[in-house]
Amino acid sequence: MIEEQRFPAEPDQLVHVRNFITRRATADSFSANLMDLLIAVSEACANAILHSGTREMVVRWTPEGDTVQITVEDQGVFRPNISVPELDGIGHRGIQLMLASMDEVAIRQGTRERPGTTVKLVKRKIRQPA
Amino acid sequence: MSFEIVEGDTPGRLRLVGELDLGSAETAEASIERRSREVLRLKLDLSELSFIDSSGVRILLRAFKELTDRGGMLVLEHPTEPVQRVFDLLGLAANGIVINTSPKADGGGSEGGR
Repeated sequence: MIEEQRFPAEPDQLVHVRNFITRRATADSFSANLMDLLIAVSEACANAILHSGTREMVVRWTPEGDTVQITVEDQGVFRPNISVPELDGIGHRGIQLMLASMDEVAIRQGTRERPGTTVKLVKRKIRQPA
Repeated sequence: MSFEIVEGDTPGRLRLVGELDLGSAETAEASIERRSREVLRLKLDLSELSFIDSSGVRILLRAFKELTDRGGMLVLEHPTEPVQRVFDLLGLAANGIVINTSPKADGGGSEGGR
């Protein structure tokens, strides 16, 4: 079942985003994928909170057969975060984590003229061990 | 569920409990950073940490750098499956961080130092 929820773009909302995904994944038998789904969605939302300047995020859960697509939409402007090793030592790992945990990641970037970034995350169902 | 840091039986031990994400990173960073400057060998018990995101990993890597720059070490103990998954996806073990994945001895973590 397709379901979407809106969340204020605040760091303390990430736990609620993960609760939403946990509930949907359990209901639609994506439990075996849950760890990866939580990692990717949490990173996508954290990026929106940190870098887009949006006030709100829309998280949509769309199961399609053996795959699930999750989108995270904001109304902000996409600012690719460039790590500064001297300051940071390690850089930002959010997008790396999304790529590693998902089968497909697509980012449609919001611009100044047309705000609104959408991150699309796609994961194929892992069969639950019997 | 929230996040908290519990003092261990020695200054070199901290227990991370709950979910470490962007929402809890500030609290976590302050105490982990301070502690990593005070000791040479820091052990973080992750057996009750149910989630970590990239901002949490960043805190661990900073502590790792702070400690190893002074010849010390960081040991991450008993990560839960979701946390280990993040470590694996980021190749954390390859960076020289010691991750002790042996099952935790029962009794709530008061075992001394065998």
